[in-house]
Amino acid sequence: MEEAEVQRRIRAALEGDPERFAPLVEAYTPALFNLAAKMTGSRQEAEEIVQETFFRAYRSLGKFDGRTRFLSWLFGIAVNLCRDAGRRNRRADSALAVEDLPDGTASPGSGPADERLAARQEEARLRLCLLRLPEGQREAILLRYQEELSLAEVADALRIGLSAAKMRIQRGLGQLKLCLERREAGS
Amino acid sequence: MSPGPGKEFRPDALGPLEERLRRLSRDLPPEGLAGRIAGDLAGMPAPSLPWRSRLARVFGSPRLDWGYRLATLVLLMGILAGVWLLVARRSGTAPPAPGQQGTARLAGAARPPRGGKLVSVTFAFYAPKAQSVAVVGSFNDWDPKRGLMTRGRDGNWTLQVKLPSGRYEYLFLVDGNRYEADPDAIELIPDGLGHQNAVLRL
Repeated sequence: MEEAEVQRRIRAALEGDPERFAPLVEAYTPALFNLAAKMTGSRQEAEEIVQETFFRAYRSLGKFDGRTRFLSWLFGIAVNLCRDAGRRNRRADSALAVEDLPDGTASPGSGPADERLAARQEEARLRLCLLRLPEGQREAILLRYQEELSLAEVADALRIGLSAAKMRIQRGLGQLKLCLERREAGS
Repeated sequence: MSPGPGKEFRPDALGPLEERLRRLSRDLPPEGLAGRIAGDLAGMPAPSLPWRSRLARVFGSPRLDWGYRLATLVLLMGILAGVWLLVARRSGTAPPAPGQQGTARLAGAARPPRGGKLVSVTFAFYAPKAQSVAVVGSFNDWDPKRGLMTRGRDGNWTLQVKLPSGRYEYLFLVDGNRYEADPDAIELIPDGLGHQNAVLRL
């Protein structure tokens, strides 16, 4: 959806026409869900985070100043909620749940089914390594490469400076590479 | 590959790891999630603008009549002036009640405005039988020690002081226990305690 259209819909909602907001929920739910699921490793948690993100955004819609894309603003709210979820999980001393991941240690053969298995294993390793990254680096990497935000938008969403965003991404990529190398060498 | 500073996302400039991250399959929300959320939002109270934005909208609206804008501004300025006057009135221009000099009420008396040209003023009070006369007012914190007057042969008590331009209230304290308003004052104002203060404007 064009940003100008997004702004029109937000204005309409603020002027008493909440119906116009519904298509924004439809448009941005997939991106928010994807981010939250990869941040928390849990689909159930992601669902709750997306819901709460929209509730909070709607309540404080008047504070959205339009200087950034609406989606970046939503990402900012979602990231905070993911951090809260991370803190809750740490307090409950429960490891992050990685759902529906194939066993990364089985050796694939050479047929087409085996290729698919190999691809799934590769993806599972990447997801696992992502979850093991420090939270700040994980947020920055997901926003940059999964959600394809510009560096400035990553910085805005995370409320950090441009150079800090760049550094988080670089360090995150470095750690991710190390983690993958170790896992691929071990499989 | 390192990310470029502040640049747009460019899929063609990605390294192998970054490309893997981009191609990582997306987690799709359960069916109907967006609809459920939109339904819940419809039941919530409508969002509202912060007051600053509301004011900006009211005054920035092209539909708004200029007369209305001006009237609102004048009203706001009137309210502000009223509040200012009230605060100024309460901040100690009221004089002490007779016999109450040296109390805490005196300590809060208004000070004369600072800066500006000094004007020489001579206070005079005729009291031939008095043992002492002092002028007390908002310019000397209603402190008799700072306003002791000198008796002349004719029974007139005088004191010359230099004051910055401004408005002052004052009284004469006779024999340390009797307050008298200046009988020659051009302006008198009730002190809120049943007496009157003389007003001096410079």
